[in-house]
Amino acid sequence: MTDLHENIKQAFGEIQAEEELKDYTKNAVLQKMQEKGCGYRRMQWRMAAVMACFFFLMISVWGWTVFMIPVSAVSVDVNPSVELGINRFDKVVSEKGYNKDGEVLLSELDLRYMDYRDAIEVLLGSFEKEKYLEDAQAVSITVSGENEKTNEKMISGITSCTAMASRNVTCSSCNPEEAKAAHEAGLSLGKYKAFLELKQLDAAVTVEEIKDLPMHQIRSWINELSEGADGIEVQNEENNNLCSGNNCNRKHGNGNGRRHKGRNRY
Amino acid sequence: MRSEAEVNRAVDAYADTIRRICMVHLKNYADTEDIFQTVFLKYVLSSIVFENVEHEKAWFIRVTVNACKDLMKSFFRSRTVSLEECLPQTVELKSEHSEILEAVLSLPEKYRDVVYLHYYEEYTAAEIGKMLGRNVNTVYTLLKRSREKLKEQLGGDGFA
Repeated sequence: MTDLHENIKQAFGEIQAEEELKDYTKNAVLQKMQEKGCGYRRMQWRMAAVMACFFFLMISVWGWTVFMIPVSAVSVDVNPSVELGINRFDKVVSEKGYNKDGEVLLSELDLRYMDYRDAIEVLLGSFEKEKYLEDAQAVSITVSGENEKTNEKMISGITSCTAMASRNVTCSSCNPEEAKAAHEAGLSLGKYKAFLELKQLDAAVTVEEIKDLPMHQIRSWINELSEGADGIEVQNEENNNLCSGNNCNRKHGNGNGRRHKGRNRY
Repeated sequence: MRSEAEVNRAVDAYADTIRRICMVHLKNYADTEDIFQTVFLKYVLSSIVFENVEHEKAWFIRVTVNACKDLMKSFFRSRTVSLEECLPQTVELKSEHSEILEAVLSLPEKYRDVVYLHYYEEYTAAEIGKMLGRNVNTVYTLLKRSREKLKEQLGGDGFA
């Protein structure tokens, strides 16, 4: 090591931080640490509060959305045709009248957020009051859930209603595809099921023809066509038997004539 | 944030080093106090994990040098002269050492850091270059020139 090196080292070595400076620095830094610590903790609390509010808001929005989404539907058809949207908590979250009577009836009732079983009770009671159920009119209740299990559960829930006991009520279910088709056709689930039944017996039946008919008339029509079809089959069998071996001309189209007869009645 | 014990340990361990760097750069005691607080507060708030003592010491040196340079460059300082500046900070030294120290402090600023880091802290040119963010060859040049200037100032005898 050269003299220059050694001398510089010794000269700098003599310089030391004063104890007073060290103590002053320690105190000043610790004081600032405490201030920053308080500020930091305050900031943490504020952030936590903001985050909590945000999560609460998100959960509320999510919960409300989940609550308001109907996952199944119950259609009640007499003359008024109404359909109730049911959420996953079995509450009525939407209601729709599929004809004028249905709309009028729903405007007089407040079924929203009721348990669907209670809503059915209220609806049936209202039908009774408005004299829609005179002469033991048929009530058709159709459910459409996410799956077969839900449908069974809902039908079981509906049939346990006390209002069902004294009335001519039929319950059925349909799958989501049928429900979608019903809504596209502008029919309630119950009427659409009846329409499908009718269409099997007479392919010429249109939605417009049955849209405003009460359920008991549609049922009567179905029964007549069913009986007519059975009658024709029996008659055809008899004709076949009678004509066998003879040159007789068999006429077709008796069924259509019966359909028109049926239609003219209403 | 670091603990009180860590701060106390760091002040005890690096106060002398920081004091010397402050003396190389600054002319008054009040600025030295400011730099001490700035450096140790930065240490408190820093989340850096030091690999070893050398790493920690190098960090303190770099931070102190930068803090001194920032202070010297500050808008306020560049346009004002403090009262204390008229009364330079005094350090009691033996006359021989006082002469050497005055010679070092009379060097242009760019030479002072490298002289201190090389002759006192015994860092190599490569280490100094890395620490100050300078080219190694530049550090060699600065060391060579500062040696020549010091010899010239100190008369050459006994300082070969």
